[in-house]
Amino acid sequence: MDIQKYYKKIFYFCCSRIADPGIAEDVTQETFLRFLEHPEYQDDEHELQYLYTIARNLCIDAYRHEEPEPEPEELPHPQEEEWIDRILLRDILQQLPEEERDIIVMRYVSGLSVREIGRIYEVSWFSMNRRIKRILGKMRTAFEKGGLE
Amino acid sequence: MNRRFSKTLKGLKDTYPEPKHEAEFLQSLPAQKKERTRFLPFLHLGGKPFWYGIPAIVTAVVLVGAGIGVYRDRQHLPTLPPAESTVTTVSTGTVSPGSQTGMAPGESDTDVHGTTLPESSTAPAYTEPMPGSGIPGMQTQPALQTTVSTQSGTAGETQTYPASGTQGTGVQTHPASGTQSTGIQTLPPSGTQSTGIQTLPPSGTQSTGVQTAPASGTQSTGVQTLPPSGTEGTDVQTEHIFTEPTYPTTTAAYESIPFYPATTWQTDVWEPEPAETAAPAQRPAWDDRVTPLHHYTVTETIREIKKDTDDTPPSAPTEPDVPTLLHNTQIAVTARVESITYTQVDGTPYQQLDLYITNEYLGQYQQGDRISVYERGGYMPLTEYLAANPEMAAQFADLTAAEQAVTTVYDPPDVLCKEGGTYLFLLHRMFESDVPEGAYTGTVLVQNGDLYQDVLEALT
Repeated sequence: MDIQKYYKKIFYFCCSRIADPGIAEDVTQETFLRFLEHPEYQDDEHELQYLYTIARNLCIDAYRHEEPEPEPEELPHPQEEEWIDRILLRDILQQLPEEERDIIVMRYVSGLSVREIGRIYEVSWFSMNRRIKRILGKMRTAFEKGGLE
Repeated sequence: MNRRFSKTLKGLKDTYPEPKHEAEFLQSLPAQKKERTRFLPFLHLGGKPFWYGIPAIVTAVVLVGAGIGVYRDRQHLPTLPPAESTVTTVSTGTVSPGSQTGMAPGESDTDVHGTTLPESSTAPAYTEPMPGSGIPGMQTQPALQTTVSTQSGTAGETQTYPASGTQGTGVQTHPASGTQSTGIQTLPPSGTQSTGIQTLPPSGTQSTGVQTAPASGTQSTGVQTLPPSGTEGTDVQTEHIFTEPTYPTTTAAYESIPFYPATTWQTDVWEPEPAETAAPAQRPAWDDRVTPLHHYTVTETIREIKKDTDDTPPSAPTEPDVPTLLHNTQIAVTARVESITYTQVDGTPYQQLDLYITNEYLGQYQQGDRISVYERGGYMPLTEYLAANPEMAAQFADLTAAEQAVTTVYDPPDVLCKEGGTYLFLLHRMFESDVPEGAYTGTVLVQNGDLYQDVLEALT
């Protein structure tokens, strides 16, 4: 298991669920520690699936114990149109159903392949590909309208 | 708007903060957890605890035990003595009694093939003159089942197999004066007692050795009869070479023993044949074809995909030069297209070309090998294409859902390959996650193009 390879992927995943990057990183590290403590998780075929499952559960726990008013994220101030679009897209992403948001984050933020995501959700590559395209279509429509209704 | 959305989607990652404590965390991890070391026999455990492998270990022990049991039970099978090839060299000289380890007729020796065995309690060996001269003789006791065969390469040697459970004295050789005899090997089966005899001929004769090769578990006694004192004798030196036992195929009671003159004896000494010069090994043809993940058939209604002009670069792509083409080439072959399969990669029509290599210029393949090459372009069902590329729906808005279901889209490939055609392929491995492992992709060149000749000259 190459932890360095997956560290950022899991971190981005946690960031999509937890507003505070500090807590997200704590959850990321806790994810790897728990993964390493249980050798039965270290199955080459399913280790990514285990990692994301642990991270998802820890994010839920962290969300329950999160402060009621999280600190705003430290992002570059959107001076350009490009950044405005990105923030808009990020908002759209946050309003998506949980599973759809996770899939988009895995694909376009963490950089997992369609096959890897399909393996995590135990569906075929083609099924996952269609699903991603469908979600993107929904996001594109919302993007053109300036946000989800 | 589509491009703006795609660009924003690609930049979505930038809206996420970078982790701040990654390096510290990685350093704080125990070294053994960063890199799992696996003991080779337990690779299959995949990092699971040791006790996960206990069933496999128990199974292995049972199998090994069963194997040993079968090996031991093998002893109840009819055992044949080890086949023995004898190399005998004969040199003429004066042999005086006592100068050679040997005994008079009736005496026995316990040294058999360098192994000291207890003295045989079986009937003593004896020699008996055989009437007649010039003819080698052999007398076999009635209880014996005798197989007589003449081995090629050894002059006049015979093998005798006493019947199982009998007590035999092997073969008695009775060379009369002035005669020539042949070598006889007596090979008793397991569980029998036999007596080996080595008889030297009387004075003035030429003789051969008679040897007895005991099988495992048998007692055998070697007897050597020396010629009378002061006579011209023959010094017989015997070298035993044991090989794997072979089952006899002939059980004739008697077979005439060919007569070999002494002059030819020396030349008949077996010598190992020189090993044949090994021809350079020609490896079998490799079949590295892959199975496509999708296999499409072409329907009657075909619509060609119109490329989005916004995505094309402003200038037309220039034809690459030869060094550029060869830079990323791992394999360069001319090959015949055996079959074309229409498939897709990440929502884009592709075709898989199964090739039969006819000539190789670069890489590990050679003539006769088969590989699979993915070339962009081909046919794909419209419904699946639109599912993967919803932004292309506008092109097919004029079609109803029913019409779309029976329509195939066509994305023309750069080079239109035909089944049976031969082309020059400049290939490298294709590592797309949606492509079967082992497939290649690259550039296809038709034979009559200028670039084809230039590349071929560069390769050759």
